[in-house]
Amino acid sequence: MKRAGFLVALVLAISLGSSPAYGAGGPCLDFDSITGGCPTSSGSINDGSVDINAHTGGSTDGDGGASDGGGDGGEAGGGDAAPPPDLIINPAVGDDGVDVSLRTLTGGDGDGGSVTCGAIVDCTPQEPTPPTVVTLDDIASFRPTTPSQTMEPDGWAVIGLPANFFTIAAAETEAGTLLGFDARVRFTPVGYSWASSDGASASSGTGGASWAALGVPEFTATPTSLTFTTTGRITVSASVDYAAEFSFAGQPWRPIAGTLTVSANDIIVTAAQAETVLVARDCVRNPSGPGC
Amino acid sequence: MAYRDCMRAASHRYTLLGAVLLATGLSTVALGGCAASPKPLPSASSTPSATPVFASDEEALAAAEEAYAAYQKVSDEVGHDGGTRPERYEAVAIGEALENALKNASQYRDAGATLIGSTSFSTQELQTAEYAKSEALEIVLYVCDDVSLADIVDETGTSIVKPDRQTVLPFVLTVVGSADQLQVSEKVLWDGKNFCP
Repeated sequence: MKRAGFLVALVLAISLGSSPAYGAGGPCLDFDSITGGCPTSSGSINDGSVDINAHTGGSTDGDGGASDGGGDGGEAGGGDAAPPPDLIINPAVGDDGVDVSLRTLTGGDGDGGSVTCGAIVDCTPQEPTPPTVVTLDDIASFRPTTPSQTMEPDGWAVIGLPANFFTIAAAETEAGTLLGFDARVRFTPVGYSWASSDGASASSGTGGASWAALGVPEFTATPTSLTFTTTGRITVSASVDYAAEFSFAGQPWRPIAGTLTVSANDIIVTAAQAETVLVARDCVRNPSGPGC
Repeated sequence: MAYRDCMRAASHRYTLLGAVLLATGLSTVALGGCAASPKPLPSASSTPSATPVFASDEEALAAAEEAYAAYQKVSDEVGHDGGTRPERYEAVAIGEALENALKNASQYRDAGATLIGSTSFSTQELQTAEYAKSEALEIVLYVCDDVSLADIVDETGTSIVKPDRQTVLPFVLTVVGSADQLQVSEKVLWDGKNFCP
């Protein structure tokens, strides 16, 4: 409100200044100029005028005298040739009773008095509020429990036959301090993957399960099974992708962009060739038979 | 190849012409070559009425200075002649300035005074310059009249100049008119602080 008052005062002052009554002085005929009959120019600075350096016309300005006048008036005192010092004095008074002087003309944002604290401007310092956006980097101190993987057959596999891997991971919630606030972070496994050192890989949205649990015969291919092509010791690594959410005390859960990949334990698999031979009896009946 | 280059140059410079030549027959160009390139067509884009009278504030200020110099010259002449034939002012002043100039002349006559020497002025600063319309020019400038080389004597030849007079006086000058004729319309003493050097 005060600022609006200043603006009005400023516009008023400019319009007064651009009226034909530039100085308050009289005509001062040439005769009097020469004889000394004109009033002597005083040192008074309260002459009730505003210096307006309006430049209109030109090739593009057209008739924009009003806006040009305001703009150039604002820089009274600057420019190539400084105007007479008294020309920039402005006796207009703002709403707060302060003279609208050069400072207002050049002020840009203005210096219009004090700010009133209230509905619009809240001067009371606020308690810092927790952020609503958190990144995976922010939750570096929160980590889910390392998932564990198992396989069947336990520790060995037959070349060309699927070996079944499954990883156990669960959603979990951890409490702690996040960005200086009490918070909880919840991890939910959303993806599982396996990779072997011989190049086999698998990924699944579930952790997989044993053949028995799936109700399928042994050496059946499952979404989480790997089939090796080379013999020897093969390292199988597994990892779990977790989605993360956070919640500051008393606030709803909010998702964190991206997923957090956590490695499970590695499994060393001995992969071997298997050859089928016809035998007359099983190993119980003939413990010394081939393969027994 | 030469023909093509020639055509390209010609059509680049005079697109319209190139089109005409193409329509009337390529052989003309081929035979004539570049040497036959005709004169450029006159530009149709000149619209003088829309062009400001002055290209810049500086030009406007210079024109105003010229108008005031003419005014001052006439004023000096009238003063030299003791205020006679004041109608000379009509060529250089208008409105309020003319009224005052005529009063000025009568002041000479009334006092039986004559100007000796001459006055001069320097421009302090341009205040405003309105010159978008050539028929309604208005330039306001701050000038400093220098009367140090001017003296006014009465019939007896005695100077009637105050010994402690101010020799450089600040004025706000308004010059109006058209591009053909600029006249001083107002000349007001600046009664604030003297901005003259």
